[in-house]
Amino acid sequence: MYKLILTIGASMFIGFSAYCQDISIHMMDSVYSRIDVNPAYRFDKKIVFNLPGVTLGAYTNGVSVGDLLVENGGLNEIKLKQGIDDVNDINYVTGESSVSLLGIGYTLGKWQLSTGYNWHYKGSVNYTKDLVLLAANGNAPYIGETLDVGPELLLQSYHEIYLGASYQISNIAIGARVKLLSGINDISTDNASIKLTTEEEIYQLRIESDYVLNTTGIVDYNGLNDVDVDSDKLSDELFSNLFGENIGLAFDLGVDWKINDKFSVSASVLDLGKISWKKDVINYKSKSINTFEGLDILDYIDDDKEVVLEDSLYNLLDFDETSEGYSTSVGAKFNVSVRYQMNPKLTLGANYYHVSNAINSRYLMSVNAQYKAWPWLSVGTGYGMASNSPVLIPLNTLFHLGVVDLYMSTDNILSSFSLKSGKVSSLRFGLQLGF
Amino acid sequence: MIRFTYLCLLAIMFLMATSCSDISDIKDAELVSDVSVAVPLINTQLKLDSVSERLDGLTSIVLSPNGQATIKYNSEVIRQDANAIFPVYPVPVPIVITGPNSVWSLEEAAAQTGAFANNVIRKAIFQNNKVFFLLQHTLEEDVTFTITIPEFTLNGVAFTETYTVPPRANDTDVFNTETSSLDEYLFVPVDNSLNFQYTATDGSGSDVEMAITAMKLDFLNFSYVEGYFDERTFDIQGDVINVGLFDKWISGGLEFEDPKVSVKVENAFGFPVKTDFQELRFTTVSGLVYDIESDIIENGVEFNFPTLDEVGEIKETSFDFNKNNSTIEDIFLDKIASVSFDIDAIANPGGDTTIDGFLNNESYFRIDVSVDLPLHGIINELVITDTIDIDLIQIEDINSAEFKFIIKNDYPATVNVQAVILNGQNNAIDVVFEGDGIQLAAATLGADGRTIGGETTIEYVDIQEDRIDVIKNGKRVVLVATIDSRNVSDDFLWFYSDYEVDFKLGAIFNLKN
Repeated sequence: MYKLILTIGASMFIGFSAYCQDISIHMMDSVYSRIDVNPAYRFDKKIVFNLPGVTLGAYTNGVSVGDLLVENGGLNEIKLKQGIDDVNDINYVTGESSVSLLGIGYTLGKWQLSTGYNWHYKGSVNYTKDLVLLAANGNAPYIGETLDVGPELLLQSYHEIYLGASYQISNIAIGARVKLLSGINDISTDNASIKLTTEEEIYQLRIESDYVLNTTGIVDYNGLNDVDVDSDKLSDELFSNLFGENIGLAFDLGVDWKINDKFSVSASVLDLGKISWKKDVINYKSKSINTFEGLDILDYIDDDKEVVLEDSLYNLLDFDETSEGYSTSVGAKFNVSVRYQMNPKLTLGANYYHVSNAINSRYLMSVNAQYKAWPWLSVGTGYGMASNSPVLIPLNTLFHLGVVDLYMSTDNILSSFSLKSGKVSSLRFGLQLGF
Repeated sequence: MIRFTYLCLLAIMFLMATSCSDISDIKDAELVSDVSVAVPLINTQLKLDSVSERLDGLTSIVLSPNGQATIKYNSEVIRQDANAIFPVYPVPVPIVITGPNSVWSLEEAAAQTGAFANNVIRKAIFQNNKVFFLLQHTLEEDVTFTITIPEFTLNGVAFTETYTVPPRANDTDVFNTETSSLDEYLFVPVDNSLNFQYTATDGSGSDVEMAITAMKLDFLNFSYVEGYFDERTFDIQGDVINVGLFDKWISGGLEFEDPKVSVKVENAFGFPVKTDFQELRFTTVSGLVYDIESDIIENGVEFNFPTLDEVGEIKETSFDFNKNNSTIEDIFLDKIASVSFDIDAIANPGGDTTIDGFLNNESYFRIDVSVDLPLHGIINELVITDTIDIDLIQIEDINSAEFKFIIKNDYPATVNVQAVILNGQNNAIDVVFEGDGIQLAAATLGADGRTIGGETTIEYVDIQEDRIDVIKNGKRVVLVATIDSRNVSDDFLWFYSDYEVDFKLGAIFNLKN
């Protein structure tokens, strides 16, 4: 099980897997990718080609790896005990990477139409403080207690083909996108309760489980000590299964109200939808109370079988295997922002963003300033805070070079100083052509 | 502003570079853990009945209705089947039929097969037999040959077959008829003889004189035989019963009130059989040998057997050597390690040929011998020991350990257990329990001779890092237990099936890397 958690955790960091929550992109007027956060946003060209761009990010509200790092005689050591005080009752590590392969926007009078393809890869682990305590200290300090150690897991990749439209009615723009989703691979938990009790008498162990782990054939569970994650399948199929059996649908809705020449308000809900997973599905279900009270010597009388304590411990969590299709939500998001144009070069704004995935949610809010130094350069920054971090400093840069727009942004430039201790890390960069 | 922009870009590049250094720190870091794991190790309720259920070898525990326990050490099963007494006899040569109405004496058959030697067959039923005839005549035309054997009948009809015998090509050309099955044919010899009645005629119906007439049986094989089967002795291979009670004995005594050697016989043969003990010998742990004295040895014991009206039934005969009919009680004052026996079985003892016995293909007799030790005794400072090989490589990561023993003893005897760990040279490197070891108090004895509740002992054994380092070299553990019932009572005490030793062991291991 820990192997599975580590795989998902590692996948998030290696893939830089959190998703960019875009607390400053609403300030970057001409960027086509703004429609990713509000389909009512409009681009200022007749036709726009959004060229390949990447969005990366990682978020945690628990301890970061740096919190656990200790230098000992010139060597770095990771000590779980080190960060216990900073662990919340429920913690998450989450993220998403996405690649926008191509987007096309076209203005047709009051209509603006858009279509394109995005590839998404997201992962998340929710873990309890009890799980950290168990990993750091073992169960001996908690004799007579019950620890809730069930992790919630999510590792998901899918294709997205969207068709969007916005319509300008006077000073209000409304927009919508419909997204056809095609799932590639998924690991996700449904129920995720595993409670471990260590009795006082001779430390008998009891596990009460109500746990469902759904996968698309990339996890092979044969006991707590034998969990195999098919990393080859994960990597081999990164871009496969386009229009396969795992089909989903999602919608984005948005509105952008320009109250006057300087002041505007916008709001959107994104990714209202789900993916149905049908290909190579394996469901691992455990709903039982299992106890291990010690080996019964009588079982070994007149028997040559080897006495193996470990097997009894590993079998405490047993799963039934089925192949029933299931569905996962894509993770709805809600965004509201205001902008105030102080002068032709400086725009101020504020933003609230609530984001969720299948297993957790969080918010970010920010105040922003965007300065258009020259017609070809715009720079933005601000101050933000998130449910997992009190201080975020977003930073973005937009180069406007004729028909070419080149942009990059991060939600928290501070995390760049130390990825190992940062709790919000993100990066978006892209390129677009506008005519 | 340009300078500002460049500054920003340089700052971003710097930040990315320092981030890479951060990741390198993490990648090279070693995970250091210091955890304490509490696990249950053993949780066993040792009751005589639960032990008994799991014994599947030659040792068993028999419980009386009121729960009193007896250990039985059983011999391998000795069994004699019907084919040992009346095997399938091959008939190697044809039986010559001397004329159209000829008689063949079974005594001649005895000379050929042995089947009838000293046996008197009064009735038999064939099983899996085939018969054919060898025929020859001198005519140039076919001859019709019909033969009847009145002693062979099926549903009351005598065996009769008709064959067409072709002319011979030369003197050596003997015609073999088709084979006929004798399955289920009843064979009732008259005057211990067999009659052959045949006719041989040509095309005009005239009698023909046969040049060669003979019958060929493949086997004499019967599913049922009735008669007298001679007085004979079957040499039944004996056995050695290992009495494991003292395998681990070091010192002290164990006195049984009523030890026995029990013999149980199942017999499906329909004639008398009697035991003839050649040997019943007891060997002690020190190698002393005792031969038992008993009238049973002198006189033997006759098995019960089914009568002709009880064909297919199995008759049981049980007897034992006990303190009333033998010297076994005196023998068991010593520590017996094994009992060897050699029994012969005498069929039809006395040789009374008028006995009309039977056997069929399912007849057998089976002899079970066991040493029965009722757990009704006195334990006198009995010290037993056992040595177990251990492999402690797996404790490599253990920094320290604390073991918790919880033991409840229902038995009317005190038990003291100590464990000593030996290294590869059999030198003691650690004594597990402090002092004399774990002391388990005896349960209190009630007025009815049963114990009332048990005493619970809780013991902790703390093994710190320096001791772990020593114990890691252990290759064997010697367990020594001292058991004594006399501090409860000087009388013989029964061990009951509901007596229990509740043994629980848990441990907290501190693991570091």
